[in-house]
Amino acid sequence: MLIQTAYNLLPNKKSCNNGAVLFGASVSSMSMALSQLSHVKMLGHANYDIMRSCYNSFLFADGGPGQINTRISSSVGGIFKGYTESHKLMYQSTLLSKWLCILVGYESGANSQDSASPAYSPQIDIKLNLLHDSGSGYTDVGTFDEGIRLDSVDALRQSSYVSSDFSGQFVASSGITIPSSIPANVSPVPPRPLYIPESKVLGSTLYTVRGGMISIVVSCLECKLRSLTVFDIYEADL
Amino acid sequence: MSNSYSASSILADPSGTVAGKDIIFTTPDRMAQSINYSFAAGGCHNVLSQAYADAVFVQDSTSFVEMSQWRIPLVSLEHTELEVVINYKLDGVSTACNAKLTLDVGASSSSVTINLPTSTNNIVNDSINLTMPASNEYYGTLTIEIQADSTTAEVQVFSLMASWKRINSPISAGQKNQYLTTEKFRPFGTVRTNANNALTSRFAHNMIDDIAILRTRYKSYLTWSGVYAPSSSSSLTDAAASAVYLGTGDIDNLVGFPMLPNGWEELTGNKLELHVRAIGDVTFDFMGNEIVIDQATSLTVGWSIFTLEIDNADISNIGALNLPYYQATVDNTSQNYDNLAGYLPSPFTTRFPVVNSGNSGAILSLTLMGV
Repeated sequence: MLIQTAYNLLPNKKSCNNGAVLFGASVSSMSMALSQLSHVKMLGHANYDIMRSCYNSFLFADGGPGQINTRISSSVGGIFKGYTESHKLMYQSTLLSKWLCILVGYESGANSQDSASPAYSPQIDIKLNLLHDSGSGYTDVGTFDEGIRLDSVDALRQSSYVSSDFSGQFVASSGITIPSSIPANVSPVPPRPLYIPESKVLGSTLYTVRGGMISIVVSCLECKLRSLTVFDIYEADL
Repeated sequence: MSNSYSASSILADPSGTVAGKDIIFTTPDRMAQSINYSFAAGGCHNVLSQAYADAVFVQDSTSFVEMSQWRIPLVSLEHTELEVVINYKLDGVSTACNAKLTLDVGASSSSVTINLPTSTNNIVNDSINLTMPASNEYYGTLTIEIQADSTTAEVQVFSLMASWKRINSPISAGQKNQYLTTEKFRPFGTVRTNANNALTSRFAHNMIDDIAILRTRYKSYLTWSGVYAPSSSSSLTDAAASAVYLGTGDIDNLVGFPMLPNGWEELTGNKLELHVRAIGDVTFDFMGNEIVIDQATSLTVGWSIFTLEIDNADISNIGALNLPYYQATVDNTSQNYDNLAGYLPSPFTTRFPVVNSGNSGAILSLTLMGV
């Protein structure tokens, strides 16, 4: 069936009074409003900002305070050749979560700033782990989607493509085109939506995954993660 | 009668209910499960999400220190368990480090203290169970305090999230409150929607009322709080230098994505709200709206709530996501460069919780929530 995204007009309640002939359209209208609630409005969503140190060595050297308690530039800088960082961001999936779109805000190195090794190759790997609580708190029990790799070949930009001196925040996405088959890759693949199975054997134990707590594991090379937004992907035809 | 639901049985095919066709019993049965599901589980994803690079959210104090405060939307007055998950590590070894989280909703307050025992990167979780007040409420205020062990062990938090626990099937009997104590959501008993039961007028009236109520359920789109009082004995020059205040560097960078489907603007009641915690008075621009914070004094610390007016066509600049998500951010305006924390004309060098003329007009926290 088609899932409408809009809030449709609900039937006039008088049309459903005792003695009124109840037409199919009234029931249809209500059931479509319900599917919009469960499969559009109530889709899962999380939005992470990654706070960075605001220490500013330039201002400190200039006689000013090094810690000014706020971010004054769109760039956080400090990206050098071979720079790596990683993050674990938790996402409470819904009972309907199946395919996730991930938007990453990132800042990459400026290759013109490093004449000795000009070829920066920013790269972001994203995979999904399951956090399972057997009664004593969450434990990371393993990876259920080995995920994707965003790199300069097909997704990431380098700051020098835009500006030679100052970087800014760029955005890249996993995309929303749902693959024709369930992913089974064992290493990161080009961008695609990430998949939450209903259940999965991790180790030797079968876990319920859908509806559980997910750890989004992000590994960055030669770039810094500035934000991450995850959506349950809307599917128009179910 | 059981107000049950199964996530695999909530889609009723409207093509089976067009005029001239019989209404088969599975249609009202699935409608009943669907409305139960949306009430019990809808909106029970993240209401708070924030992350930190190394040595930003760091504390070494042996007593509890307030580090951040957020506004979060409630799911309903029936959802009373807020789960908090923290990704952290200790620099050092100690069993004396803790995170204390306090949730305030109206006149009710509850807290939980989570021990942080591990020197390696670790994830901990616990729940705050709150008795909701007998008043109309739709948001809460969540505060985190951190206690470390001086030079023996510092606490570093890398990411944290909170979400309301969904109500497992079946929903308990009786009428429920979403946000208003006078507004009654009526779960549907699914036994009555089995075959050979009556499809009554009351079914339709209650269903229409329930749908209208659930359309006003809030979701969280952007939660940001400064890290107010970081402290570290680290020799790193950039340690404990968090963003305490919203600043000019957040312009176009601190972004949330509210979803505003067609018909959203026709919904009654509040639709999209910005909650701001500030010191004194400040005026800034957010998502095309001028936000004017006017508090009792220039040193008053408090939360203010603003309803945002949205020009959908003007700000629709995020595409290819299948749904109408909009970009909400601190706008790139001269007013923001003038009024938000920055280096010119002078930086806010006073660090909250100290409040004086050196940080009057600073923004401490910001949450965007909407239906």
